[in-house]
Amino acid sequence: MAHLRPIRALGTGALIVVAACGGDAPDRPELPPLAVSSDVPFCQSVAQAVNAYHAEQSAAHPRPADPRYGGTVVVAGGGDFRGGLNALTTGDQTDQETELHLLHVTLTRFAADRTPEPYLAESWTLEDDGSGITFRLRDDVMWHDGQPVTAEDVVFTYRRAMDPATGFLNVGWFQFYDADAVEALDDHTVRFAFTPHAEVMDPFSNMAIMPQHLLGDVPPAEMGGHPFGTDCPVGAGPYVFEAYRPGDQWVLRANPAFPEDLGGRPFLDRYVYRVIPSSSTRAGELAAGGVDVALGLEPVDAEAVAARDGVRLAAFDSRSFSFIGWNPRLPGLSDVRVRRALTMALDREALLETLRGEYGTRVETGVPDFHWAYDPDLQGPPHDPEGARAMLDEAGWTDRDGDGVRENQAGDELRFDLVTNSNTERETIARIMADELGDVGVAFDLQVVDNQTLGARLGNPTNRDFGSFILGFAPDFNINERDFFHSSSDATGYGWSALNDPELDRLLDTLPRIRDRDQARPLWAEYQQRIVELQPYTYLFFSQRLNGLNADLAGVEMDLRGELINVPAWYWNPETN
Amino acid sequence: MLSYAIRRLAVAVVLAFGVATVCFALVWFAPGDERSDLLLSGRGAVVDTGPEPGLVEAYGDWVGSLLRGDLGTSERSGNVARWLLARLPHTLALSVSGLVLAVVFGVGVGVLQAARAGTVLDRLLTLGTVVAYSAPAFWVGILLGGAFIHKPMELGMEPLFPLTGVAPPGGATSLLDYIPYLVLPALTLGIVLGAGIARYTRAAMLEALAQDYVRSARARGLSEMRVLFRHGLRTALLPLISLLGVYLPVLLTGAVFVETVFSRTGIGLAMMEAILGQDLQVLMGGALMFGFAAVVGNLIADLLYGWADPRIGDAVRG
Repeated sequence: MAHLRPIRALGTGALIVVAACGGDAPDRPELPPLAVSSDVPFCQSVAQAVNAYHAEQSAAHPRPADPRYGGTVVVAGGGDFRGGLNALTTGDQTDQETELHLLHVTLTRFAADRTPEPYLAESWTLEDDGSGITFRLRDDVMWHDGQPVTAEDVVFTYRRAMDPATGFLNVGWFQFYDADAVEALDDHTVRFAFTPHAEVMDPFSNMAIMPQHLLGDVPPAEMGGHPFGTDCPVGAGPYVFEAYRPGDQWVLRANPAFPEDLGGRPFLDRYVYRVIPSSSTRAGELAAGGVDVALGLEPVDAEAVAARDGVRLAAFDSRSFSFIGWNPRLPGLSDVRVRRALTMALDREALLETLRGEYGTRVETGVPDFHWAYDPDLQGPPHDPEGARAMLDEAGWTDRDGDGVRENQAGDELRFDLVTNSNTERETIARIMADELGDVGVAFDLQVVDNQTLGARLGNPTNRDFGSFILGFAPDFNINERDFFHSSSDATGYGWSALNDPELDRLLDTLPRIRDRDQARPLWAEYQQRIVELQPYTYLFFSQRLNGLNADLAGVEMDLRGELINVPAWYWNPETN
Repeated sequence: MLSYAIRRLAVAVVLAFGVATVCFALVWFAPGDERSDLLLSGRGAVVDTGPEPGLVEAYGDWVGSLLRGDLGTSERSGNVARWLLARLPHTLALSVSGLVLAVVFGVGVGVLQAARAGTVLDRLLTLGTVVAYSAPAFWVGILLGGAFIHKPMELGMEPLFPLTGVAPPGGATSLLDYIPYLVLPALTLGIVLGAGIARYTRAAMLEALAQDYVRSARARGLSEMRVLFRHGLRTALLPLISLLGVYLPVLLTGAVFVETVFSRTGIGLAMMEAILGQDLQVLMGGALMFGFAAVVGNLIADLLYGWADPRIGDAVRG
């Protein structure tokens, strides 16, 4: 059965009609040679080396005849990677995934069952007493400029990440590491030393290795704004950086030299990430064929995608939850009764139903129901506006001047800033929240900013001038909320709602040291109970991630581990395309 | 004519200076602590240079860096001048093509209406132009997207134009590659602005057609087309030129919404992002650019006017 079907010829705007029958290879033209260019001095020689090595390797490893090879995929997401693709300085979800799975490599990576499997490290040995681990690295992984990846790069990366001057967001991973925790035993062997602790393997799948030969001379404090991240990021992963057009797109090219054992050359020649801030525009572009994958759709757009021919919806559990954060440094919010009352005044069940419909699950803490430490018996504060009013009265906040907003004895109003990013879902939460909490006499002044500004405002330990905020967060598989709630986290980036509670501190100090899960479980239940009592956040829901895909795009895996985990194995279905 | 041109140019320079001063004053006198970052960032990376300078010194420094083309540095966007200039071509392409479409569409509809004044067609077109004139640009953009992309797809056809972006994924290989991406945004601007021009052209044409010389032209037996275009339109078009000068800034601000709807990485979208990101450096740079564009637009309109209407030049000479 022969049938004709037009495909878009990417890059030319013309139409090419191919006959897709009898397994004929689709005609996908080879791309012109890689031409990274930059007007930044640091990047000029880097770009030259990358272009030369890519040309050499493309000649040495021509595209296989398998019809799955070739073509471009265009992925649309809501935010630009302003900080670039330097894994030491970035922290947003999509840029992190782009680093971990496309541009860079990690020591290990998560298999489907969430256990670590070999990647840059071909094997490892955990010491019996749990005080160290030694990795044996592959010797066939090359930086995109042709230099070999060695143990020195691993040492450099982890040392920089642990150095507070770098400002690496997840320093919490290294809480139990010795000061000189990482050393190279030879060119391809690295040892880490630490105090025995739980979930030791987790960081190794999350920390992308950075090139020591390019960044070694950059002072840690200058890593953030360094042009390496935006103008010439060099990795060792399956995709090579090609171009960045600020606010518009990131273009990556298949790495022909990626080791066969690790998947070899990716099927798709080119990976383009486009910035399209609005969810409905992303869905519209997917329907119009302008993009092939639309990430992070809102439920209403996801339903439109699900109803259309030629596209399909990938809905899967994600690690991301939404919450309202409180600033416990402020009068009013420092009182646990006030925080509890705020949670009780909000109808969280109705909120979830309104916003996510079937694509979400209620939560009471940051420990999701798919996590081994989850306590199924946990009860959160009920929806009880009357109870909330009584509790606020008891805390000394009453409406003394009859204007509908409560005051304390000094006459200060129970009124807070509410900061969130521009996103329909969050703005809706803000409106419902202002409404329902207004009913019990608490007032909010809404401020809508963009992602990056929100992050900068919340993450600045020296100036925490917000009252409350609505945010989403995706924890690692290893949950460690020390950076958020421990009294010592007040001085760190994530410590926006840091509490000063000795009981919670004790749990946060103890939990990460217990290596045996069965032993840790009762303590985890205690921890979740304490979080519910203290209400540093009003927890809303875990969202399912909703991505729209072109139905001809095959081989796509998206799950709890992420949505870009297997991009090198994506391909255009030769039967239909 | 030359002295007229020189005089207009001098006025434009003074005006541009005034625009810059107003921008400076807005930030300087605004409450909050933004001003030090914003107005002093032109002093290079060094912010901590002892006591904060006074109004006069800060203003002098700021004008100085402005004259060197230095719009300061923003934490979010880096060098502001570089950030905005990289986006300028996309906005210019959109504005110029939008303006051309607006003039073609507006003058065409206006002339047609004047020629058929009082008929059902005239009334329908009046209704249409009033609706288009009052419609927000982003809404027109969304409708066009529906008409040219989603509707054809529902009917099983390929979409006629790309919906968003400025160039094909992976980059343009020739200038022609940019054109399909320009169609819908330019059409949006053209419709919204053209409606105003049509309203104006119709009124001016009717007024011109009521003049004595038009009646005598008809009496001399000239064809209706000739009367319409040679005697009517020519007179009616003159004031349109100055209207276009006023339209230039409207075009640019229209670009803010149109670029946002179509995700075009121009100055308008940069301004939108800067608003959400509280990126005051970029906002101020963009405001200056838009202000200067208005001044330049008016200058061009004045010069064209002087060239098109000999009376202006005469008045200056006399």
